[in-house]
Amino acid sequence: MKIPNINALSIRALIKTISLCFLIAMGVTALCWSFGGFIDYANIAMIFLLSTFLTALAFGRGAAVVSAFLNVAFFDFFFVAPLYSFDVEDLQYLITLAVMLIIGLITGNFVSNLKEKIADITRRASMSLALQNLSQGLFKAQNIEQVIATSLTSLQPAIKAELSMYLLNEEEIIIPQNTQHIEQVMAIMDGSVATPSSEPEPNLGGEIFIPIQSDWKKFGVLLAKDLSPFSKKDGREQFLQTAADLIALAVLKLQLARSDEASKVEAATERLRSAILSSLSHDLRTPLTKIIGLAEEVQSKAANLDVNSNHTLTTIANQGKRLSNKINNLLEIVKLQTQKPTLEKAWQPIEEVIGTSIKYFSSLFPYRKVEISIDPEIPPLYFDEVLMERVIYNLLDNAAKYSGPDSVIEINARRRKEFVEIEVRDYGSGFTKSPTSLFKAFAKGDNDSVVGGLGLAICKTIVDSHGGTIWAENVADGNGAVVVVQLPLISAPNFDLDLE
Amino acid sequence: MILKILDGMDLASGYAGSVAAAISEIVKAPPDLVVLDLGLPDADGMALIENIRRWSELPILVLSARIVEHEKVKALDAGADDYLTKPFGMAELMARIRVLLRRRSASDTLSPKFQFGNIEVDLSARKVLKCGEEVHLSPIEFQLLNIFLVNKGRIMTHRQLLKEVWGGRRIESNHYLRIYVGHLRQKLEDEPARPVYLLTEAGVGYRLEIE
Repeated sequence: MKIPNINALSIRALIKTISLCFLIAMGVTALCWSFGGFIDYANIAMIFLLSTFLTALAFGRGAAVVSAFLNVAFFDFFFVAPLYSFDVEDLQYLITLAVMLIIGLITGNFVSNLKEKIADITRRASMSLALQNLSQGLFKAQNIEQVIATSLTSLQPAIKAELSMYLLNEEEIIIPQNTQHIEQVMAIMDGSVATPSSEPEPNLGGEIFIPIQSDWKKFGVLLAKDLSPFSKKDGREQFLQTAADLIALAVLKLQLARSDEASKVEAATERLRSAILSSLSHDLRTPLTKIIGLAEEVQSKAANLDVNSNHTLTTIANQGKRLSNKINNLLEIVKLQTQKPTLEKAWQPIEEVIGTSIKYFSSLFPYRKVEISIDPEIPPLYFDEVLMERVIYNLLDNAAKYSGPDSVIEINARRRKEFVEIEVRDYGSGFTKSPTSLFKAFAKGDNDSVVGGLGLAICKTIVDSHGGTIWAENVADGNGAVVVVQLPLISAPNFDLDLE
Repeated sequence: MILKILDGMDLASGYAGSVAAAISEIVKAPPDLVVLDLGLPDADGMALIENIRRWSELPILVLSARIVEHEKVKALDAGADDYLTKPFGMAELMARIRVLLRRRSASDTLSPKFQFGNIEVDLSARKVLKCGEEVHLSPIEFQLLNIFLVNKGRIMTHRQLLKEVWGGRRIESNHYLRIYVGHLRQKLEDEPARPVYLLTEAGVGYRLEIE
């Protein structure tokens, strides 16, 4: 049996209870008295017992105890001989009184226990129902505002405290904004304060802050402010914690759905871009193939062509190939600038890619002389073969454009401590524009060839993505120009060649 | 236009504008060679290659745009025999077609002896001569040369070469391949940095051109 705390509040309550039971006992006495001798003692005792029982039912344990004592007193005073005194004549009545007291106390206690249990169960049931509603509501919620709304609606009926909730919305701002608790909420979110769930003071009512979080991230705070000072706390903290966990799950689900959405959009955009690039690629190249093919066909079929016509056809074919190259550059720079270049790097000797670049160049410029000088000390480098071929080809193409048809183009590859330098040198007129501006897309060269300006920009993009540098300078005394590509030497992993 | 070139080569040809039509044509009257443009509208040239390869070894020549190297590699690994990059010249197309058709007809009468430039190779005797002098090749180098000769004129992807020489091991690292090709070039080519026979096709593989 719980002993209530004795303090100012309790004493006042005690007095209230005593007065109440006094009045009840008086009422019962008056009732029985007015019936005069029609009711037997035994029955009067029963009626008093009944009133104790009912008091217990209506007013709880404390009242039941008081009522038991008071009823016995009244019964004794008003109905047990000698009347109007607390003396007891017949010892039998002593037993009656004692039993009455005992029964009163027991039933009173029992009834109030029961009452408390029922209240407890009802409360728990209502909490369960609230959590169920919360689950359903969260499942349907499409955004953070809805989460907050449905949570408060579902949870509030089950708990006698003022509930409020704060969550991070999509832009990572706490909503709702207007709150006197914002500082404490921010403190919890920062993690600078561990859950400051203050101990509820019996007289003052307390505030409980419950963070809404998943393992690694805080989404918000659930706040319960107690309204009535004496309300029971049983199961409240756990209820709120469960609610907070459910809400955290819902927020997590929303976040995942959002990022899923975002990556779907990104993937779709990617696919569209690739599709456009490849269809453009195809549509531009097919006519070119025809042009080149037909020019060559006429050449081979017409055996008696004069030199001029023959030359014209060769030019047509060559120009077709060069146009195709320009298209490559264009499409490549679109690709490189709109998507992160997916480099397929591999360890390979620099000779190979220089060789293939020269071969391709020679097929388009068959009369240009190219001299190679490659330092044998250069170890394998880590780079994307296709892209680097494009770089070297573009440099050769550039050199060819700005130098006379009889002048030599040199490619040199040297090792410089932690770098490898590949330079393309021509003996032409040199750069007139400032060398750095050449590497910007669409920089105009001497002949105002705009599309040519793409070549160097592509080189820069590719070289940059390999962690290298590219620069251009004029050779001293106006004897041409040189473009240098510098690539870092990364130490190759140990490839064991023991595979014989 | 390709049809005209084929006419010029005295070859009969058929034409299909879509993968679906192509499949029915090929099944109806199996040709000696298929030229497939990878830019076909109804998607996957790759599906056509895989389809054909399920029931035939007939040569497939693939045409593709230059920018998508991995597409070519995919086609070759799926079973295509060779490829041409658009735009290409007539001569190249004719040369490739000739190589593929010849492989097809001559596959049972191969000689172990090859001669190109100042190089002589005898595959059965395992001897290689350059300018009359014997060149020593390690077993792997020889095996590589062997594979190239048997597939001469035809593109071999890195993956195919790695598989032929090293079996299942290390199929991902092209580095070994490059080193050995480098060795072969050093030993056989006059100017290793500017190979004439053992050609690199960037991003795809290698081709031995000894015509």
